Amino acid sequence: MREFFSGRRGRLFLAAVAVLTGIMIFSARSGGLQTLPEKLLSALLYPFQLLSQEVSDSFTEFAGVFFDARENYEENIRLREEITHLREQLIAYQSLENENERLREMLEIRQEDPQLQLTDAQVIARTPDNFQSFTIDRGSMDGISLYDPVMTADGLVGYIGELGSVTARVVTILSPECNVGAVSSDTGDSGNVTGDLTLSKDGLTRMELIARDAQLQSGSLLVTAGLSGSFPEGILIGTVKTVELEENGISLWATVEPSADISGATAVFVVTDYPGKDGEETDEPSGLQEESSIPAVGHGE
Amino acid sequence: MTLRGRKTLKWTLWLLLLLLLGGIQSSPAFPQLGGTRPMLLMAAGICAVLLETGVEAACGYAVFAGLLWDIVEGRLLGFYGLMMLLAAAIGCWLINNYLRVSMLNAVWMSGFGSICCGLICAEFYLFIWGYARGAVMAILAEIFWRGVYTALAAPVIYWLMKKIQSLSMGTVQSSLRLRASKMRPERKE
Repeated sequence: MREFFSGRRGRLFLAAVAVLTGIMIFSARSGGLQTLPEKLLSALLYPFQLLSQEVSDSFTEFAGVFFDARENYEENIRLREEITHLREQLIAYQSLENENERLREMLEIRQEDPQLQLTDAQVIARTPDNFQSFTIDRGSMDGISLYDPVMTADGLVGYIGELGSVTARVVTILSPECNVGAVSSDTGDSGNVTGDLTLSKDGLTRMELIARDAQLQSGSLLVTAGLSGSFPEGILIGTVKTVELEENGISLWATVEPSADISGATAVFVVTDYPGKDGEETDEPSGLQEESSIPAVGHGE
Repeated sequence: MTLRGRKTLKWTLWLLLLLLLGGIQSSPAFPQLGGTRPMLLMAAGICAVLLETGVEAACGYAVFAGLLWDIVEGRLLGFYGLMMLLAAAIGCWLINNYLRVSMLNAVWMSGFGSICCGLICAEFYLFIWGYARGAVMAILAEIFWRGVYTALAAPVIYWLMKKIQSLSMGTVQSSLRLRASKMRPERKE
């Protein structure tokens, strides 16, 4: 062994180990922003990731015609029945919508926040980790920043965990790295939504630090609290499935089913700007912000 | 084509293959086995160690595969690079002393290497942070299936890399002939 390390190959080996360790330390100190070697490698890989995505999409589409024929037929029948049912509901819905609109105006609740600035992005790579992280085809050149929230039309997906020039990696709400201050839209109970390895296997996440006397129950809808400015307020996170007492006996925790299809998402929106971003003051602080108090753990709220 | 030209062609094609494998490995619709994807870049690095006679070049290729793997998996840059360097060094030592170059060796080395890397990665990214509460067996099962899947994918990569090598470098005889023709003028001197 001593002969090996005193020889040319041994010295080369040690030099390579030292260089790689140096790269690791350099990358670890970058705080989520891609370093120059990472940017170069990402740029080199980017066209091949796009190519693979295109090929796999085409193949899936082509193969789907054959493999999903039976499923499509059954779905067709089911959808026809659903259309009939929905038509009946539509008439009732329209009158309810009118009433709802009037009530919303009365209560001055925004149906949609027009102040959110969104950038659309395609999922170009899936990270083979346990938390469904993925890479999108947008980077700092497209105006997105580190820790920008990522969502779909259905709800919150996660945040930008690593930012490159043309690509970015999204850390999902299934990951323990992600911490989102959440509040129940019906009971007003608050907590911290963060990932859990066991739950992430089933596409679920966890809400913790819920007060023991909370009224949270199965079916409650959770939205972002928007406390620290890491996430905009009022974005749908998911639905509570179960509520249980923590082992310490002083607080509750809940399993949460994300409303966004995280594992199947092919296109997402990056929220590049919103009222209260990075803790800047908003004109109209909401009641939820005043009422909620959630300790911050890691990145998030 | 000169020997240097052939070598350049081989390494260019091998690097392109590596980039393509990186793209395929992270492709959203890639079929999964036991909820995992194969570590194609790991298998490519191991196959290079088996097929390339120059130890330094093989290790360099494996390290580059590891760095790409870091990018694909979103790990700390250099983490898999370092592991691939160790795997390549051990692989070279085994090939030089105990094993012969064969597809079977590529299969088990890729599978075993994938399992070892998976265990080290799980230790650094899950276990020491306490993320694996009550899910140790599930993680170990996942690492096992990833190893199996990598081993299953290894023959294809080995075949492709060997094909590239034989196409670019020609047969052993033609390589030797080229080398001999290159050495002839030196002898005259």
